[in-house]
Amino acid sequence: MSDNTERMLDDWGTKQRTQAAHTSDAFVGAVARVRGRRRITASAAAAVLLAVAAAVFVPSLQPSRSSEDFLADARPIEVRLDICRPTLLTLSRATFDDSWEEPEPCDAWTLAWAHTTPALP
Amino acid sequence: MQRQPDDRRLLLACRRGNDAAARDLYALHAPSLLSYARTIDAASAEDAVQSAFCTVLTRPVRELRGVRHVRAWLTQIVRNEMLGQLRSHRRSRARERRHLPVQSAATHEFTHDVAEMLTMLPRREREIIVLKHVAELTFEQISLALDVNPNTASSRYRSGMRRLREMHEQPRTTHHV
Repeated sequence: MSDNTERMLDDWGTKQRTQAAHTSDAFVGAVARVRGRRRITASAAAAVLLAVAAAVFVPSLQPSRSSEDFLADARPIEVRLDICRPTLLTLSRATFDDSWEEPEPCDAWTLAWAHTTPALP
Repeated sequence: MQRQPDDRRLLLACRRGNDAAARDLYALHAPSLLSYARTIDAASAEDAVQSAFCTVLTRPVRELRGVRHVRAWLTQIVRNEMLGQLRSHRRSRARERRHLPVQSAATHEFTHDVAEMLTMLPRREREIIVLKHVAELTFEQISLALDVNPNTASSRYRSGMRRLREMHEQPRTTHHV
């Protein structure tokens, strides 16, 4: 049951929210930055995983010339991501899957994906 | 009040960098959060809310998947942010005045009476009343946001409302200084 005091508070709350209702370009800008960072993370993580996978599976994979080029292009990115090394592999597994719901393991598909990723500055 | 059922999905989509989801999430929750934050400190309210939404972008996805009540979770972040800022201000500026949260909101003409009455309540009661009527949280959500027992939240609310009713029913001159 709502009395006068509760109605007064509800009206006050409604007016407060109405005043506060506005969008923030700054926040959406932050989202855009994160999206950009995710691309970087995914690409760099792909390079790291490619390197790991190559080290483990070299005899069977026999990396092509293009994979060597990719590793060469991505080398500076690996350095850049040294800062977050403890979480790097976790992040990379998640970022390979666009939906982020079921992270893919590092496999042949991952390597193929890495080959098609543009080199980063 | 009921939240839209898919705001948890919006939260995850926002985390993944979806601009549209970010706008929707912001439109859905920011007005309530900002209104609440302004009752703590109007000067830093927008920064705190902005910071809370940016926090969404930095939390692990698996943590966001565990969020049951998005607004309660965001409220908790805003509150921690505000309290952190206030502590920082106190240290750096050595504020001598006791913090009276709703006074800043009282600068809005139409809120004058309500805001003034709220400032007369103990902080714990005032905060719960604001979260209930401004942020539109349920007692369960308030208990999550403030990390208190739901019964405690309900009890403080009733106590605060009793005081407010007494003030509200008094002649205007008695609660205006």
